[in-house]
Amino acid sequence: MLLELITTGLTMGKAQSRLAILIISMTTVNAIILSSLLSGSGIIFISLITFGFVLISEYLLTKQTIESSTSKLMLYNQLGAQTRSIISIIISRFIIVGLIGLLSGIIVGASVVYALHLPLNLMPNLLQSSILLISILTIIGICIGSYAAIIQSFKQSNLYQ
Amino acid sequence: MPNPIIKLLDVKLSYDNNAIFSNVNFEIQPGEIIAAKGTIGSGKTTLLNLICGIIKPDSGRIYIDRYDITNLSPDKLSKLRANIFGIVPQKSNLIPELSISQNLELPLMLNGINKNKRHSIVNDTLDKLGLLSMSDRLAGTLSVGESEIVSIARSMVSDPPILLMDEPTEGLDPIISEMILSLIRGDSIMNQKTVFITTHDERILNIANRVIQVKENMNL
Repeated sequence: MLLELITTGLTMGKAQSRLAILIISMTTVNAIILSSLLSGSGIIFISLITFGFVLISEYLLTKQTIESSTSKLMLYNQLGAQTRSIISIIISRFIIVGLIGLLSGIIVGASVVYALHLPLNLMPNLLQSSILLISILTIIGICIGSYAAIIQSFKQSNLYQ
Repeated sequence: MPNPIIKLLDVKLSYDNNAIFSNVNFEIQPGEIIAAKGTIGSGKTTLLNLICGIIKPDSGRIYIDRYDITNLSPDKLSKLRANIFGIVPQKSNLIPELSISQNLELPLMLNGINKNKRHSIVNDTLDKLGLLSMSDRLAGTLSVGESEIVSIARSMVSDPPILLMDEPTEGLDPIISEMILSLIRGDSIMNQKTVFITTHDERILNIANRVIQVKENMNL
């Protein structure tokens, strides 16, 4: 049932999905390129900045998505959908969209870095450390940012019972 | 006399320190059509939201069937809402990018009914209402009257024992209003449905078994 609801048009229009993909993708590309120019604590610093940026942007995007979908959320509430399911559906959509953004960001970012550092042969090291770190922090950022926005919006609109 | 299907006991509700309801007591028997009338802002929609558990009262008890919904956990309340209520909101909230039949499938989906059975129930409902030929039309392309009829059909599709309707004929032309009245009356008589309608429409007030005047203190 959950999968059917995810694909049945609750929350996130096409424009919002494209914006979310673009934000995650650009953030990942920047983080990978900058990480390749730094080492040690520099990589950790860039990863944390990326995490903060993803967290804030996902929070704002989710809030905006919920505010523009109030009537749909109210409908699902009236039809007896559990708040837990609604939260899962919204977060699932954001994670799916975020993963698409992350994947495309990694492909573009890694390609650029590979082109820049080909003579230095840094790719294996980069793949092992910074891409993994950035990916994990990005996914955590998406989950926490979306969840925080959902809980806050639901409490404000009396949907979180 | 059978047990009441809806019972409100000493219900109190306030918003920003202003009392909306301070002492509401009434019972509704199965199969009754109850119309709630009142001035704008008197709390008709709030009363409807209290009955279906979307709003919780500050104090008092609300019994639906044999359940005290003021004490139910959110999960149990959601399940009860999916099984017992068919709700028609004041502004039809169909999902515009879905077709009529997909919109009708939503309550069945939430009740965990499988795809084949859902299609057959939706087609039967659309057939009864004469809407089968337009089942693939997107809800976003419907007129206000058509949306209201589809919205009522959606509330009836899962065959709930209680229908809650918020001003279903508001702003509609007389022909569509008459169709909606026939739907409400037919469903209540044929299927022993309890119908609670908020309205200003004299025609609905005429078909109701009882009329409630919504005000701060209601004892019926």
